[in-house]
Amino acid sequence: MNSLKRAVKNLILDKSVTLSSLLVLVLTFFSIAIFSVFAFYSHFAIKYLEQSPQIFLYFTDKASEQYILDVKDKLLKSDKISMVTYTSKDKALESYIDANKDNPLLLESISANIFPASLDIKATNISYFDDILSSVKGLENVESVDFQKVVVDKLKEISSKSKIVGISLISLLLTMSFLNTLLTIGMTIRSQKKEIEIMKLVGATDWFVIKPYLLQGILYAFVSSFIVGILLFITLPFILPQIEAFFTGVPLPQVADLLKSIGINLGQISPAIEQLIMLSFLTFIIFVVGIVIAIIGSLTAVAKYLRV
Amino acid sequence: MIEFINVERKFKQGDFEIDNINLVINEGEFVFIVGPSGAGKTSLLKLLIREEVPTSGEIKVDGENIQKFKSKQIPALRRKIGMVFQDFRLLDTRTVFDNVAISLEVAGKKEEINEVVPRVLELVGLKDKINHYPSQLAGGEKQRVSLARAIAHDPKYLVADEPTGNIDPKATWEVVKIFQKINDFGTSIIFATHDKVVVDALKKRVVTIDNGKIIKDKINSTYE
Repeated sequence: MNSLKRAVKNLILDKSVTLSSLLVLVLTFFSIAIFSVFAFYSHFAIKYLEQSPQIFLYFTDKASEQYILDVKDKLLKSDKISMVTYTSKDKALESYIDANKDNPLLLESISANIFPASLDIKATNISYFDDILSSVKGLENVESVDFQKVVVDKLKEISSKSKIVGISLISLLLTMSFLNTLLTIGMTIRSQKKEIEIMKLVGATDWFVIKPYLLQGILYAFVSSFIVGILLFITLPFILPQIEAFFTGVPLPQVADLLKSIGINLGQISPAIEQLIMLSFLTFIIFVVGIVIAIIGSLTAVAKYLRV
Repeated sequence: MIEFINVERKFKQGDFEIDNINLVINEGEFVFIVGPSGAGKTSLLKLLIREEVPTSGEIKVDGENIQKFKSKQIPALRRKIGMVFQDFRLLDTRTVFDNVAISLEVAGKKEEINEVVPRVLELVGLKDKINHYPSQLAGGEKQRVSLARAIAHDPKYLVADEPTGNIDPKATWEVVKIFQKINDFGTSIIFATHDKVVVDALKKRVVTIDNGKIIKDKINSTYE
């Protein structure tokens, strides 16, 4: 009897265990898939928000435009800074007038002279905020440095906590699927303890003993990821808009753009194709994760029975 | 050739399970290992197939010290030594054919299964029960299946641990005759037993063990 036949026989032998184990795997893998989509979008949203807060550098009247533009060029050389925008006195006046055009009282006797020229600095990552602040505070002709401290601190907290929650949740789900595989294959192995012992005594190699259980684990991974693929095909069209709605106002990455970033240019693709690509990718990832869990789970389960 | 050189194995309490055994078994020999229950017969055989390891001494099979074997070398050793157990150790969920085929499967000789299995079952007189399950067989028949499994992959040595211990006298003679036939083909037999009738009838080399020690080793002998 070859190993694949034995693996299939093991699955058929105890149908209720096989079905309940598959159900647990499907549920955990499906949760992992949906959470991964959410985590993926969250990652981009947090990255976007991390780059949103700005440091406003206001210059004294002594600072010439050339001096300010030199400072801008110097700042842009740092990889901690993603963008620096120069606002001249005239531009500041324009913005003020534009913002208060409905309130003529505030526009009376206003001239460009009362507005300081400024640089708006955006960091590549919120963790660089303090470094940037300390580097610009010592500059000459700087009247004041302004930034939204509360927002920055809150964002830092959200960013680090969301990483911890994400890693913990994924680890928990992976542990659950690993334990499920370990227990299910462990049960099969325990019921075939005598068979393993006899095989070893008549000269079976460890690989000969392990192979059917390994294949059994891989079959679990294959069947469960296939079912998860079908479930995602049915549910993704409903779940994706909900996730996108959750992140309203944040420019989320498009699948076509992500593919382009790894060198695959599909041009303009429809939302349906976009979902299909995401679905295929998720199913593939789940399958790979399932295979890895199956291999580690079955090897762990069979290890102690090989010492004959 | 199998050699036991100053082999000792101690229990955890410090008593000897096997006490300074020196024994040489040549190719083609038929050797009875006799002695009362608990004398150390089974321990000696377990040492030979590396199911257990000695506390000291060397066990050589065809010149190779098996204590130095890495775990991946043990399957090859066990394929060189066929083993028959007192409790048959058959797989209840497999047919007679499959039980015998397993030793060819593990030896990587799958393509020989359909030719070899019916032949060895014919040798042990069970060709007509090829599709039976162990639960449908009598004790002597089960032992003959176990014997067929042990010889299917053509081992150089055949080790039997009380193979007639669980079967009736008529079946015992059938099994013993098969052992004799296998030995005639050139396979060395190491037959552990405390069955005086069998030992006396065959008049082969008899190694007597008591308290883990060899106390007698005689050729063409009887159970004394």
